Amino acid sequence: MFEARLLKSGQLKKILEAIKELLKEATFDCSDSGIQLQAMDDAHVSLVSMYLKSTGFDKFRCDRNLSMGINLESMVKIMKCCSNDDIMTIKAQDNADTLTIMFETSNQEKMSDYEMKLMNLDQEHLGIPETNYSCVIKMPSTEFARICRDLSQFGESVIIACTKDGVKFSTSGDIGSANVKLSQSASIDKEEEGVSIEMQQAVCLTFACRYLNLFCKAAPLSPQVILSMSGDVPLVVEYQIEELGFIRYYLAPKIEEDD
Amino acid sequence: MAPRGRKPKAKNEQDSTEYEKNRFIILPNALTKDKSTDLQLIKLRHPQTSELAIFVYSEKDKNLAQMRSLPFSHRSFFKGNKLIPIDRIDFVTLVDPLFLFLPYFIKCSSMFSPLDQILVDEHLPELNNLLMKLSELTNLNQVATRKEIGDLILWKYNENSTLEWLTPKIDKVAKVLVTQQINVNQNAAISSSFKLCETSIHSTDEQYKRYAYDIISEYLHSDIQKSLLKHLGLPEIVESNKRKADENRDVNKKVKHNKDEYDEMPHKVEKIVTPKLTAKDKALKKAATGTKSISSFFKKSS
Repeated sequence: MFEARLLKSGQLKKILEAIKELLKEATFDCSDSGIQLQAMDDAHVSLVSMYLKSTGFDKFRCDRNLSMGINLESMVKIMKCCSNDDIMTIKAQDNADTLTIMFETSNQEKMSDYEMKLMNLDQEHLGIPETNYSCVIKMPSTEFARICRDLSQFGESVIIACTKDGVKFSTSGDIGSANVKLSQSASIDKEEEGVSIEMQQAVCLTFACRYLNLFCKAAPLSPQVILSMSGDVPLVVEYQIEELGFIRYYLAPKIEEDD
Repeated sequence: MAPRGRKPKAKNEQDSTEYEKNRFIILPNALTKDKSTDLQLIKLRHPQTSELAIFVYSEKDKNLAQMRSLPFSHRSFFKGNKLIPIDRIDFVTLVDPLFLFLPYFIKCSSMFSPLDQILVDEHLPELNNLLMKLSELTNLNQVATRKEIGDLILWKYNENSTLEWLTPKIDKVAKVLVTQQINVNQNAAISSSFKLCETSIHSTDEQYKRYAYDIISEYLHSDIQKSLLKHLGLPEIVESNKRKADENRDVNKKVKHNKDEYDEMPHKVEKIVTPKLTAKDKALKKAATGTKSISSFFKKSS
């Protein structure tokens, strides 16, 4: 028996919005420590890793480890049936082929439940090694989204160059080129509003802009985004979900610009 | 011409051993009325295949009949107290010689020609005389246009009148099929032990017509077959061959069977296949080009 109660269903709604365009279907692995999801997109270029810890839920019960193959599009449809501050409960029996999602309004006056068919998905789990990244950039998630959006008008790939002066996003295309440079904030009132760069070694990598834009769909989940880079390894774009867990996107760098 | 399947009253005649031992020949009444008839076996080109086939010709009765042979081994019948084995049954049915002439007429359809120049077999000139003789039995106006120039009579093939001549034949055959309750369904089977329940016969007029057409077409060249089909207003079906249709049927059965097996597998939930690619998917795919696969960075965990 698996049961998880979340006080703010809006959080799961946002999570699904953040991954539904990269993944069509995914396996949610439930254990007593929480819910985990790891999946690659169809092109096998990016990887989504999500972890929702059990303590982040209002109530969490998982007697046996359970893998639920979920069609994300269907789940999004169900999540559209609730408002953001509804209380939601997810339930599934051991070895069940359906998942029950229940919503209740905070005043308990309206209850609704939805049942969704599960799928059998064969997905391979990738082991992600612990890496000490050469550069770790923390910046406001809205700022990152803005930069990705702006630069995607110019070119298909973005070069992210991190030096001790700051981080530079640049691209070029048919109409010309674009450069955005961010320097470390001098004084900040709140940590998540500023830009901070921890750097051991300068890094310059190229990434597909469209993917970065999809990662930015997770911006509503967290005010801050953490970009971690090292030479010739995938970029990590991490969003911390307050009290609940995190969602990380890994994106392999482009090998050659002239493709 | 007698339609296939309608057996004239049987009268047996033991054939000479010239052809094959123990042949059992079924002759139509028209050929046996007169004991002194001068039946002779002749070889002519079959109108559909233009291969040589055996026909029975009676000059006196002005009859031409076709012989269809059916191997029929390990059978026998009683004649009085005598047991007579049968190796082969020959059905003899009357044929309108016009059918045999059609290929010759079509060959010379480009211009008006005298008959003795139309009914000419290039490879077997010995047939020419015979063909001319046979032409006296028929009304050539049914398939050709006649023209008289001086004392010369010229003929030219006329497709329209041929089709007009063939259509009533098909209607006639179809009528017989209906009255004899012959099952014209494509997957019809012949069984001596089971009779088709009447309620299960629900062949349409079109099916009867098509079946009749199939019978008549056995005497027609493929070109005429096509125009006849059009003339009758029957939709063209690629399979005029029953066996082909049966093969398809088998394939379908197989697929169905496999599907059943598949369903029996202990599937939790069937995976919903969504093969369609939206413009977004395509754009994403394009964006992914030039990028290494992420699985080359992360090892698979067991």
